[in-house]
Amino acid sequence: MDPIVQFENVSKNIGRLAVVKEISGMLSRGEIISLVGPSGCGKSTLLRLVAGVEDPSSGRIHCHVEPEKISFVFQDVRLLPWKTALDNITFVLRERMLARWQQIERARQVLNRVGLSDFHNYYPSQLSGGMKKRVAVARALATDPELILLDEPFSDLDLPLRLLLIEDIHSLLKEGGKTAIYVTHDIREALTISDRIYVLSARPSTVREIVILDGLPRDTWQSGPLSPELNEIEARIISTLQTETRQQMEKMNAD
Amino acid sequence: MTKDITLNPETTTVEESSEVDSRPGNFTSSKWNQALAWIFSVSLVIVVWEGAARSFPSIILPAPGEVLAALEWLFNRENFYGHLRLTAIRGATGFVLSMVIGSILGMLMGRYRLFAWLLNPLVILSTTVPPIFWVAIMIIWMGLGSGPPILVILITATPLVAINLAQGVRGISPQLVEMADIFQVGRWTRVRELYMPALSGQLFAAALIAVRFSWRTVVMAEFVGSSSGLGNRLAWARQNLEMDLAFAYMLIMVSFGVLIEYGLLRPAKNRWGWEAGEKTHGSHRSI
Repeated sequence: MDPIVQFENVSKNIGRLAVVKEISGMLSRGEIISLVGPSGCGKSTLLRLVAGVEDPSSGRIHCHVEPEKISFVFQDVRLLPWKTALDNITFVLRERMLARWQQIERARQVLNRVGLSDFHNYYPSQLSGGMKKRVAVARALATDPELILLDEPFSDLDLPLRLLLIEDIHSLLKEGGKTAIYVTHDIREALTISDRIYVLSARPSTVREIVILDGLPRDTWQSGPLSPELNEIEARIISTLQTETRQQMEKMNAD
Repeated sequence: MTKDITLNPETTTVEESSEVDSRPGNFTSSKWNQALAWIFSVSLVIVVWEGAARSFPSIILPAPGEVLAALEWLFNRENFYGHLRLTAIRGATGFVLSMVIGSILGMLMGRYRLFAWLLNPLVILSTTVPPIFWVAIMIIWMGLGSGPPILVILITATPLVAINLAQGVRGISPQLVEMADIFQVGRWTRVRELYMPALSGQLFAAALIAVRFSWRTVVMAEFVGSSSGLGNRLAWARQNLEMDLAFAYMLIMVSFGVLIEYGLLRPAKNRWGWEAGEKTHGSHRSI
């Protein structure tokens, strides 16, 4: 087991608000983990801590990967609206590849890989929601990262497209041997993509349960209904999250 | 008119929307209509001017024909081009300096609160001082010449550019900046490919303000405090009661200003500018 990210009692406060509380865990090289939890529980904050854009208030994060080898797929895509799909990708390659032709070649490669071979010169405003997400995924892959952080990347898409993109990204990540942390509030997404699922509590976030999916037959949940084992896991996670959400609402009402 | 073409069963549809504004009474949708508006407005001014000129002696209000004759006379005089060149150089120097210094100050004010805190009162105060005050002061300090017009433009246009740019910098999406941080995008790439395009709308707005201001201010400064340039020639024409020449200079100044705005700045904005929701490249098509 080759750890790539390790959390040691990590807590994060934003102002006086405790967002993450004493989280410990580990991510191995080549592994995909999902973070699921109630809305606003601090899932995205955990990703930002790993990305290094925020520092923990206490505890330590050991990230055994160079910052330039970390990529991010944002919920709101964050494409430059004045650049084409191709140029949005070469934008993040400027300092990584010296020759302009190398940048373009790499951008073409990843755009083709995500199924956008005919849309290299389209501006974000000319692309559908799903296509923009694909460009964002292509941009994340273009830098040849060791670790990809995905923050609810497909949450605003309709279910069939979402499942399609998740299957695509799962095979892209696995083919490339990439390590990834996938934040979602959708349990089916987490079941589709992950090797392990961290089920988080309501804010402040703590780990409620770690579900290990590695070894379960993946085909069963890609196209059809869930297998009995996965059904049971899904029901258990839903029940945990419902309890968490209920407790959070009761606490808010009491305050 | 909207047409949907299914490209692929996934989600992709091409939507072609015509951009014609169908509001009744809308005359601004095409270049031809805009040209027509110009022709109409200018013709109206000429007709009113011609009519008014018939009621006054030439020494008060020369007729358009007399002004055209004065223009022809000016164009045949060699030293006219020397004055025109001087005014253009002074205006352009003041414009470029105010753009450069105003942009730097604006970016600092937009990016760092300390600079905004320090400079905001100065900027606001400087915009309230009438430019003619600076002209008077500069003549005393520097005498007649190119110095006062250029410095007056610098003092009066720089704060306007700075205010615009500061607003633009504050409007840059922090999400895009964070994206550039996470992808470790270098400083120069960010300036060239993120900040500058994001600021282009404000930058062109600032340039338009600065160019209008520069042109007006240079003529005013030359009028009061210079021994050369179009403003100085206008002062001479006024002093000698040569109203046809005075109007001819005014027409030259107006034409020059319009030429800079429509021949240079607006085409540059269309070519390089980008604003939210504005398409400058390719056809208007969404998928």
